[in-house]
Amino acid sequence: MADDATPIISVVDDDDSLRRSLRNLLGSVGFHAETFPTAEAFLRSIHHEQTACLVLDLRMPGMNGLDLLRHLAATGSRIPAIILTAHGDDVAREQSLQAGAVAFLRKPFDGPALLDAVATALRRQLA
Amino acid sequence: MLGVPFRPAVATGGGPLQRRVAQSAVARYGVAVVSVAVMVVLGLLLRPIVLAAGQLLLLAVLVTGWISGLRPALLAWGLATAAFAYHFTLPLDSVKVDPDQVPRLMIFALVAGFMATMSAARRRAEDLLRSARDELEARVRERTTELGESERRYRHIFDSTGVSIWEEDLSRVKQALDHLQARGVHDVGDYLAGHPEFVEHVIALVKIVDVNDASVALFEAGSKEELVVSLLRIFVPETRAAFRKAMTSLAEGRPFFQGESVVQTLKGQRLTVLFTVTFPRPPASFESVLVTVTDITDRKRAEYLTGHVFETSPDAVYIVGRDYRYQRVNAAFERRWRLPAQRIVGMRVDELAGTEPFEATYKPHLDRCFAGEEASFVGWFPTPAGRQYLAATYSPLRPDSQRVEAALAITRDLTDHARAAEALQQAQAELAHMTRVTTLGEMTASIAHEVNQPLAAIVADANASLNWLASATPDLDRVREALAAIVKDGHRAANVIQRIRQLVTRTVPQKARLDVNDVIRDVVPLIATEVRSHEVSLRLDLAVAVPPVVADRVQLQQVLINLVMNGMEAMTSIADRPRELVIRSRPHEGGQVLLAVEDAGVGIDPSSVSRLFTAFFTTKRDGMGMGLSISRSIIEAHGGRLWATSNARHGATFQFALPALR
Repeated sequence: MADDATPIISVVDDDDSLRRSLRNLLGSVGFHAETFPTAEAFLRSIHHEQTACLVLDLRMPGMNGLDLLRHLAATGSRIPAIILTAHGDDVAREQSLQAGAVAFLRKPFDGPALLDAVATALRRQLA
Repeated sequence: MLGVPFRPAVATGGGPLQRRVAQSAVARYGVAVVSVAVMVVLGLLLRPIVLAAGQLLLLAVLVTGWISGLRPALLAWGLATAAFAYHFTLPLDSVKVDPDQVPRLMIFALVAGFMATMSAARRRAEDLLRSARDELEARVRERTTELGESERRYRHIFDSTGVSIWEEDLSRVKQALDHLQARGVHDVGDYLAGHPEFVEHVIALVKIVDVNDASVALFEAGSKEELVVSLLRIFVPETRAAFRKAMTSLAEGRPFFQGESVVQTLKGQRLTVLFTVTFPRPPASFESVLVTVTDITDRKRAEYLTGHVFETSPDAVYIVGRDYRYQRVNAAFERRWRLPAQRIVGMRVDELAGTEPFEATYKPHLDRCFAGEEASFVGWFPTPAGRQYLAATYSPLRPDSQRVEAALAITRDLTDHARAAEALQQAQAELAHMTRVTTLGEMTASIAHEVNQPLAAIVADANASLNWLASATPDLDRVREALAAIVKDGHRAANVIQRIRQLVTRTVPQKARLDVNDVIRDVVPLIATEVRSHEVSLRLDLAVAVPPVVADRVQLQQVLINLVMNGMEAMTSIADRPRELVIRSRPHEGGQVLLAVEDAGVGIDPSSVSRLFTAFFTTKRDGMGMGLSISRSIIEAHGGRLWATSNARHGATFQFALPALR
């Protein structure tokens, strides 16, 4: 169902349930979502290059969300990233935004709010 | 006048002769014939000189009466009268009697008859007197023998008895006291108390006649002579009081005196003695008064010690008879029940301690004690001072038989200890609760994550479903799938909250049979986030079958969380090797179950090994240092053991063993 014209939204989260539900949510409005349990899995993936928007969990085993953001910035990537976290403290939010995140949402997040953030990021990306 | 010369002969020689003669009638009458015959011959020889020689025949009558009694005397009288008429009345040697001779013959016959009766009567009187005298003599001899025997027996007792006996001459003492009373002193005791110099005077008046060997031994004298010198040798100042009482008894005419006092031996050793004086009854003499002295020093000392221990014991001590009545109680027991001993003695145990405790506890234990066993119990009992935690021991008392006569009870009030232990338990429970809450506080972020994660999934799935349903041709299969996922995530969130609630709210331990593997599985979700955020890999190494244990599920969870958190903290700084944490369950030696948490952290600093489990010991900057201490208390309260060992390569293993349920 996904073709080249459809932008790919990559979801990186270590929680199985959340990955599945995010794919449902994004898919329900016609987005093409790819999910990855770890940052490393995402970097290895062929979808890495084609990703139009990144939905990223902050705390993960191995390379965490922030590390991935900094890594992408360092390699010149311009993928907009939306940070999801269950630990919604201000320090984490500040760090995320500084590392180039376009949005910071606390779990449990509102579905339309996430979809709006994704849409905004995609518009910015395409613009 | 005629009888006078005969008296000595009769009194001395006549006695045996008379007795011999009296034995046969022939002899008795023979005396009459022979004596008359002798006097006839004698009279005939003297007749040429004096015709009155015929009167010698009176002698024959007299002698016969004397020797043989009345009837032979009458025979002698007849014969003598006939002989007199024949030989000594004119005409001589003829049965004829001149008329002028008749008065003479009649006078002879009268005198001879009178003599016969008189002599015989006299003889009888003499006989009676003699037999009375003989009887008296026999009695005197008998009594003399008896007295000798009695004296001998008395001597034997006096010399060989183990009791010290003093024979004292108190006659001068008695005189002095009589004199005192004669002078108008009525209260001798009072007078003696006020006149010590008179007492000394009286002591000096006591003359010691004799002492027995037991006295010599008791008073450590070399011989009797050393001891009989003076009472002053054995008197000490305290002896005077008892001496005054004894003298007062004497003055008041009492039959005996018994008293207790202290005396000293000749070597200066003090003795406590019981002495008894038996006073003679007036008018008997006071020259030989016996005083017995019994050494009760050892008994007194034993009595004193027992009494002292009994009375001053801080434990309540009492004696209960087989009728369940108090026989003796000590001061501590009086204080416990706030009643004087004289009120308690005689009461039944249930009247004092209450019917219910008596039936439930006191009586069964007393009965066991009366059956010969020692019986002990502890528990809370109502007393006037409030509920007291008492530890009691009943010992059987058999004073002089095999049968247990009473129970000796020693009870200790452990209320303070029990309250302290209760308070400690309470404090421990509160502290355990507090640390649980604190631990949870430290884990709040993790818990929030743990709950928010499924909630986020639920919201996302719900939003997706709403979107799908809003389309012209809703994909109901996907909606159904999403709803199923929502249900699952809802349960997942609820589970986490349920476990946290258990951990926070319950403070009273509830022990139940459980499988430690289940406990481990319960804990894993609670620590999952912490494990992730510490970038630790958690591995479970569970034995397939472990015996069940009886324990409080939440407390074991708490201990396990503590050990896991510690293990993860220990690995925070480790970067050069995998941060692996292993939770292991195993059957353990001695019918136990082992639960171990092995980390690959920095290990245990040898200098802190000994303090690892003490309260407030921590190596963390913001730790309370209660975790391991509480954990150990919990495990020990379950009859188990918690300890730590260093691993062969890296890190440490914290483990606990619990007794398995058989």
